[in-house]
Amino acid sequence: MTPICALIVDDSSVMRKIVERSLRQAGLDIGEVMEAGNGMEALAALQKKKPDLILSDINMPSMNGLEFVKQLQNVAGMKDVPVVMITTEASESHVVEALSYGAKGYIRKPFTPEQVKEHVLPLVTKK
Amino acid sequence: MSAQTSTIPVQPNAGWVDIVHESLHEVCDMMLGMKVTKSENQTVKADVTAIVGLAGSLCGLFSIRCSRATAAKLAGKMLGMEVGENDADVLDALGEVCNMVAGSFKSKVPGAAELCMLSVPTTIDGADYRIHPLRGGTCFELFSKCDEAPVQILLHVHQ
Repeated sequence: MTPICALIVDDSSVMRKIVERSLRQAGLDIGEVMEAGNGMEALAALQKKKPDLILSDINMPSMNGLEFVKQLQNVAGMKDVPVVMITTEASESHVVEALSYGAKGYIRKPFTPEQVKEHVLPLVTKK
Repeated sequence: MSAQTSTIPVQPNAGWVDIVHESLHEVCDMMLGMKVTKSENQTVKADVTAIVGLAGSLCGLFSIRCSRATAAKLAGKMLGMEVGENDADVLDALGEVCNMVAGSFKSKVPGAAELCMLSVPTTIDGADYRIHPLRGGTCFELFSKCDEAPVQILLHVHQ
């Protein structure tokens, strides 16, 4: 099995590093990691390469995570890429909205590597 | 930052200090591997500050202040590596800690979880500033220690 390419979208560079570390701690074979600081940057990054997995924050400047997931559905060839939201905004309405736009999972900050494993592993193994 | 309209304002109460403490404990335990205790010492060297705005059923701001050394320690614990006091990650990490504590706090306050929105964090480098909350508000203050590193949390709520 080839290593997984992950796109991590968060306006905090520290949080992007923590998410990457959590993916590795979860036992995932992570190869390339693409990074974006908001939804606009993420959409631009997707023009260059298709990742196997996307993890996105919600509260971000320029384009938030919900708008990003919504627009992702219109990007050719990206519908099958699983998206997991990782955010402090864990109200039920946000969860429902994110799932309705196509997100496959939702992790609330603060989180543990075990929670990342629980939510992400089934999505990647399914592929 | 947007917030839903027609929200019923959440009324502040003294129990919120304990909820803030619980939220800080949750973040430090899960993300930093640090133990949080309430501090008897009511002073903190506030070199750096992180602020998250609240809007909706709960309006105001949530801030964490600490020394640069403490902020570097928090960043180092988050990243699992040594972080220098002047490293770019120091303010970013403090902003994220503030964001997570504020998010955890609002999720525990009835009426705020769904109808209160958080801004992205803002950080201030330096101690020479004053916050002027709107008149008629309430301020909650908490002094804690993350391991032995002192932090101050301020919650200004507008009414």
